[in-house]
Amino acid sequence: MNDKLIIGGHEFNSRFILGSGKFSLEKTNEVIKNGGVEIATLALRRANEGGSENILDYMPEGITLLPNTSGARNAEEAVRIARLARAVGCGDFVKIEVVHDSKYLLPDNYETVKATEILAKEGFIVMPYMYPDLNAARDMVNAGAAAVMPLAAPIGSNKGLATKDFIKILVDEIDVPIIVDAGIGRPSQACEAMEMGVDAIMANTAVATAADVGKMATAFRLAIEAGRLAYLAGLGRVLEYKGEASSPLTGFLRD
Amino acid sequence: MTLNGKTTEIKEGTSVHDLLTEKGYKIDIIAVELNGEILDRNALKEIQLKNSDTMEFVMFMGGG
Repeated sequence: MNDKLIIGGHEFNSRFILGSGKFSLEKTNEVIKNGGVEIATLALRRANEGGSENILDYMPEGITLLPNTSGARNAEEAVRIARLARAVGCGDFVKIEVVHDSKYLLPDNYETVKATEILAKEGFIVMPYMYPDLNAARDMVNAGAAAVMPLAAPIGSNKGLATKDFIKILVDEIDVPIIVDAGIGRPSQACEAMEMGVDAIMANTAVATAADVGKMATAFRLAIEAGRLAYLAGLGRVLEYKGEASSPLTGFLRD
Repeated sequence: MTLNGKTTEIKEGTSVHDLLTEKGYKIDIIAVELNGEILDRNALKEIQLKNSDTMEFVMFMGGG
């Protein structure tokens, strides 16, 4: 089936993006494999231990790396991190993450728009992490974003689709891929978002905090595929105020 | 000089390449910023450090 996810001109078969935080290096590889993941995020930090193991060694051949600008509190810091990440030499993708709220970890849409504009002009494939606000999403697209990544619930919370209705608005109104990122806690929630027409799911904590991380990666892969297939199949209609028989209304064994 | 936020004494004139490799870092997995400017990896052997410099060097880690 030719139903590829296209971001910034790059094609992907998988609609499951993995956040690589909170895993041991060995588990990272297993999760990527089980999840059928083709895009994985990375954080950029000061290198403080020479010779220690490097996560890049655990990334399979051919995977697309998506550095994030985590740690950035404003557009300027995000731009600096993005440029340094690109200098490591792993491609032009960047996930803009600008957070200066340490309690809820909500992103600053305004600073994110600013960073998007600067980085898009420098040739980055920009994927901004954002709070689902239609106006901000439009600004990000106009600024050159290749996708938008609205949150479902606070990072790391596993709370699910708290912002469902507002994500749906983005699905209906925004032309670039919509990738739900943050807060998804269960495969069923990923499936639900995909059924709604979302283009991809990013999850991290939901997999990393599962009892069996490898199995959960598989479960997410299947759920995301199922949700996408359901969306393409066209969901059946909902009757709000009545039922409708599913068996014939004639030929009953009675008078 | 200030190296990743910490004050440290270096031998003036040490190249960026030598400083990092002496500390055990693999050049091809890090990015370097010297006095606010990102350095070209190919130029690291030619750039010499002074104790008044501020340098950051970063690498990828797991993150969401």
